[in-house]
Amino acid sequence: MAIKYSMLGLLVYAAMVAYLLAGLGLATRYLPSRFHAVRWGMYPHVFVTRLTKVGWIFYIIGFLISISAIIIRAINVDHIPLRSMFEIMLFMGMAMFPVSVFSRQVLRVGGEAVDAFVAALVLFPAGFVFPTNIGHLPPALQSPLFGPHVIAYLLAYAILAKAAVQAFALLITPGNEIAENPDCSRAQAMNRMVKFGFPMLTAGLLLGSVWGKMAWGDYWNWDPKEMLSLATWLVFAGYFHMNSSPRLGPRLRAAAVLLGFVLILATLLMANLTRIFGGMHSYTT
Amino acid sequence: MASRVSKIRGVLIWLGLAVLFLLAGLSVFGAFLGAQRAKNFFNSIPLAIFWLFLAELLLVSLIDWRNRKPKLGVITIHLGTLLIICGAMWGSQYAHKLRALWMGENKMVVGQVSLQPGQQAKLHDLNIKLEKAWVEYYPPTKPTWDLFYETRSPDTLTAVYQPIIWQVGEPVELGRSGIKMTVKRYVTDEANPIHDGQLAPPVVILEVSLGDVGGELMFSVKDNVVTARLPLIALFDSESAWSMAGAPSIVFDLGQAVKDYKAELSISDTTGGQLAHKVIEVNDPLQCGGYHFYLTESDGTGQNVTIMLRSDSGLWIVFTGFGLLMLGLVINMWLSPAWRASRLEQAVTLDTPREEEGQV
Ligand code: HEM
Repeated sequence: MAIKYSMLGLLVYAAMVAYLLAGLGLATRYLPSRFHAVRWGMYPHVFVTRLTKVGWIFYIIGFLISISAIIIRAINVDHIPLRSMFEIMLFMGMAMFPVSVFSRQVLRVGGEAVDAFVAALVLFPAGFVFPTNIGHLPPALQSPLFGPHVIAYLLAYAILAKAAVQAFALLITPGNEIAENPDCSRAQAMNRMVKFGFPMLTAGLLLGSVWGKMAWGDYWNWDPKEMLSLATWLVFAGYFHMNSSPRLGPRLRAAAVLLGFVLILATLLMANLTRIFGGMHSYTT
Repeated sequence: MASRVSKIRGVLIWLGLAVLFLLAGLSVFGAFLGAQRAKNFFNSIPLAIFWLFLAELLLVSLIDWRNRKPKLGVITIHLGTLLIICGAMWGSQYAHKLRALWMGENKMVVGQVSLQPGQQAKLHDLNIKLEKAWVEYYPPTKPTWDLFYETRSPDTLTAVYQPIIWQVGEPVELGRSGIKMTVKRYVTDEANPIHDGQLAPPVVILEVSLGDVGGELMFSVKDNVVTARLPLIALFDSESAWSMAGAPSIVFDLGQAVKDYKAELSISDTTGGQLAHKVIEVNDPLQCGGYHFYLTESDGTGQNVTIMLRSDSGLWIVFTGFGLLMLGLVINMWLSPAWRASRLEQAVTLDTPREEEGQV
């Protein structure tokens, strides 16, 4: 655990602060309704609407800062900056914003306050835990599939994290209604997120498999990280079959989504960080 | 009739669900086994039966769409999955053995040869010749080679390396051995300090001492090596005393990161007719005669290279399955909801019709 006294460190911290402020602003939406009526001085707008707008502005600022950090990092390392855990966390911190915007605008699923807090949370290890050592790209990582494989996975993880948030909310709250999703129930919001993320997850898996064939000689190597990502994929595939069984209610489906998300965390973190699962996927530092 | 078909569908859905969660559980189990044991486990006879069962379930689920409007996306997904499983089984070790037994097919699943440039080897009916091999390095980040202090445990002979931070004329102690070392001169090809992207091998004049014993040594690193060792035997009474002290040595290392291992391969048949010729590298194998040829190992100079070949049986079935699976998912989860929503002239949603009927 160390503070980074560098330009890059500074940008990460600035993005974290912006995301935290964004999360606070956006979370005012959840205040009880009597607060919504409070007026801001002489302005005709209600207090909460204003604060949510401020939240969005900070969310955009945090996104712009993290994009700049990624560009600076790319210039410094001279390859796609997705090699070290620092770079992966930085990318995740950047990716939450576009995922939030797409979800709200196209899928009509809200929850961006949580997204902004998640963005701040994933930047924490980038800011304080993982080193920013610059490494050359070893021969195995020099493949046109490297970028697409990792980006597909990270986007899928960000999207499925949102699905897991909806699933969690569905499990802990008795009602199925939610104010921030404009036109759907929580179960529908969760379903839309899983349907958005699952093809991306599959793309990550299949691109990795084709790459494995090119680099190592086999499209499947039974490596622990591969096995965990297959388990994740199968749980979400199972989730779609639960959709077809009317007897399995939304709560059981939500449990499946949460199980899938736990497996994502296991794949992303344990395979990289612990010695339990040594394997071929240990390029990340 | 309709109710019998829908009963079959109901059973299939439950079976599919059970099979998917079972396989997910087995995969987590496999992650704890480690790659080799997981591979053996998933290729064992009981699992082979499981794969056949899964393939058969998928096949039945494909056929059983009669009583409802077929959904293009869902069919494509299941067809893709079926092809992946079939292709993988066709390419497995068992399938190779069975084909050899029944059809007389003469094909290895995997093979390996170690070669030096200019050498060739015969594997089955293919001649593999290594024309040339070399290593490309990233540009150096500093002007000199790296120096390490190496010691070996007298029992296990495992080596431990400590970097030596040195400057010309400044004495340094090597570890806690009491050995002192000073680089007196570091001479290199000044006119041409980088040869083919690599730092030129140096000639180094060192002063080393241990207690009262000591003196000057000249060590020149040979051409075409990336690492060289200078054993400090001269500081000890005998070689065995030196070994007992941990065989202290100074290691000179090029210290540049490898950018690419490359090998120029020619493949010919038994009559000598050339079938393929290519410079291969990691991530860019050669494809010929039903196999892919890979560069799997190379020393830092490219003088010793291991070439692996792998059977391509079933590969294109699997890759077609990948394509169909991906296509089906995009149709089922992205395109058809978007199309449905745009037809309804609503905001785009990714709901299924069932959801809109309020069953979720
Ligand atoms: C292994 C990977 C598999 C994937 C990714 C997959 C994916 C899907 C998807 C996305 C659906 C559509 C769900 C919906 O529209 O609500 C579906 C439906 C279905 N799947 Fe699979 N599936 C897989 C394996 C299986 C297997 C092994 C079976 C074997 C029985 C099976 C049987 C079915 C059936 C019968 C349906 C129809 C559901 C319906 O029409 O309501 N699937 N599958």
